[in-house]
Amino acid sequence: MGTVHARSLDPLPMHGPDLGLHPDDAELVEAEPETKQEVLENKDVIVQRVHIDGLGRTKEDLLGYEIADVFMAKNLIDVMKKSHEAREKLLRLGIFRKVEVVIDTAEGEDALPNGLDVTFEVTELRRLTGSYNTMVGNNEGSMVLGVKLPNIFGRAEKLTFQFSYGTKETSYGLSFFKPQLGHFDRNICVNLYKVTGQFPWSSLRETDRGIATEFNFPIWKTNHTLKWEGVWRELGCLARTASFAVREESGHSLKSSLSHAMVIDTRNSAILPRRGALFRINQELAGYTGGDASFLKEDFEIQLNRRLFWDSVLSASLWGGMILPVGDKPASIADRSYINKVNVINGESDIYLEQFAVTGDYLGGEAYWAGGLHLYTPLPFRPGRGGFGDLFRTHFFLNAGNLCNLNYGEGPRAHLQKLAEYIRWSYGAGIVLRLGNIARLELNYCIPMGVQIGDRICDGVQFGAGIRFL
Amino acid sequence: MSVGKVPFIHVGNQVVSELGPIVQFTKAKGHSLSDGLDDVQRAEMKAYMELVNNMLLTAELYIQWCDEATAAQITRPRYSSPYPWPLNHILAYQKQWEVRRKMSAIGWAGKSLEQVYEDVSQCCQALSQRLGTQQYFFNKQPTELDALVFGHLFTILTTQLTSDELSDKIKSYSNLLSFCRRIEHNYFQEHERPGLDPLSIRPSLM
Repeated sequence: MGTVHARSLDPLPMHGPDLGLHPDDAELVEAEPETKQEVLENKDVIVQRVHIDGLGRTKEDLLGYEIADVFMAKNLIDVMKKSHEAREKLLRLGIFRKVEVVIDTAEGEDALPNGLDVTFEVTELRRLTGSYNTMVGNNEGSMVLGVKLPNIFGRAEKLTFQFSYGTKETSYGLSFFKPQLGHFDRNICVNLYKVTGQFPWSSLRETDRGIATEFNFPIWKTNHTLKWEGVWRELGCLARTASFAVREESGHSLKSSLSHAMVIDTRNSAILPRRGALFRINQELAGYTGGDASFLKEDFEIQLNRRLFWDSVLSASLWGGMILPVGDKPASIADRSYINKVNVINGESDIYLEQFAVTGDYLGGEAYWAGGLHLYTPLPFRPGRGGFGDLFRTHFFLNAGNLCNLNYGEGPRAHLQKLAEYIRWSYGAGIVLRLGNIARLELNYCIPMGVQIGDRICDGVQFGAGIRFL
Repeated sequence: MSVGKVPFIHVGNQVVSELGPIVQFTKAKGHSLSDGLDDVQRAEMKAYMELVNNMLLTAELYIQWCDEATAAQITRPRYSSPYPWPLNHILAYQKQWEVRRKMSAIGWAGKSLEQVYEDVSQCCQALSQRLGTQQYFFNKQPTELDALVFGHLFTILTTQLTSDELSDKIKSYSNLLSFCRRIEHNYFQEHERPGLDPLSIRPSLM
């Protein structure tokens, strides 16, 4: 798109009064039309019109905001840059499959000599897309049906429905997403769901049916989320040998909570980032809007990444949190924290509260912290460099963590001391495989140190997959 | 609690629920109430226990959940009392739907309240005839049948319903009434405060 060709001579008229041939006219006829080339780089231009071709159900007022900036461009380089940015914004809305930009000179009666027309040729996504998968895992097979309706009302609203029918459990989820016109980062999301989970380390089975409404908005460099969630939780026992303490927790409960989360994320990627930092803080207050679970929960997560010599990355992270029951009832087992297996503290599987019941069910703790230090390097000898091999990294890690129950009557100093003594920690090395931008698989060898009575240890070779890793 | 159904016992780290398994459990430990019975009597005992389960238990469920007046005034508020709104309504209606479905499955859905009271009366008549003037159903020692019958009759006599017709039916058999009082006096009174007799406290039972 560096040069623009423009024709500067009009063709000779075909009809007109027959004036006879004059010698001067004969000369004119012989002249051939010349094409002039002008290089318009850095020449001042004005964007006169911006068209969007290919719209079906999308409403135009939505797109007006995204392409408004293109009119501000002053020269050709600027026009190209702003159109590229507008194209990115249109793609981010998630309603177009393809967006192409064509820049041409302005045409029509009011065309200025340095006027430009910018045309976005878009292809909308289909009204309805469906997917059907089967999944096998954890002694259960299931069939998953997904239906997505992008842009249902024309203003980038999205409705998704997922239904999973398994041999043991059934779950489903319906989600509606609507961004604010002109500010895509401010959006509302409403979810309706039923999920089931099994926690064999506590002999517990949990079924959640709930509604969640969340409102996301950015403030300066941070992203905030305000959420109200109402969940009907049903806890049941997995095995006949479940301990009495866990049986006491089973039954129905209703949690209605308000939560707020703030995230500052400057990393270049969520999985295996090479630089940047993440700071996330989350608080949840339950019980003041109905329901019978009432507590205040605080969580935070910090991660720092820094690139070192030779394409290796040093990553340090710290997680922590606590739950304070409000009122007389202690926090339910469904709300307490667990530091879980391979995802978090490698080698220290299932670190839970020291006092677990006689049959060995883990009850969770009310306050916890976990920290990790990782060094990621490319695979030794770099096989498959430039292609598949780049998805793998080796890593060396050192993880530590602890959790405890909160006793009122002891001050914060006593609790901090309790969290600081008898720390569980472990170290090791392994290989990490990155799965798209969503998850990672790990194969590690780890050596647990600092173990307490009642912890279950998993040393040696371990395999794990997940989304959130320490 | 996720123990299944009441009654249940918690022994060591085991939880055993429902009468049948509890009886099995205690038998495995070496105690059984029906040791002194011969085979014929044991078969008879099982037959009567089945009668009580099929008749009295089903009638209780019917009256509590399928009779709209009782369900609305007594059963649903009682069942939903531990839960917050809206969970209380959801769970109460879910249980009601479940019980009504079970009633249709065994053919009781078409019965009217009078027919159910008649069935209860007939069952009580059979039990009353078997009991006669004895202290317990078999000899002078109580057996599992006595425990089961006592459990049901005592509950019917002491639960407040919209009408007293059900407990009146039982009270019309005086030997059953004195049977209940005898067991309650012998086995439960020492654990209660002296002077309190649940069977006599309620004026409707006198």
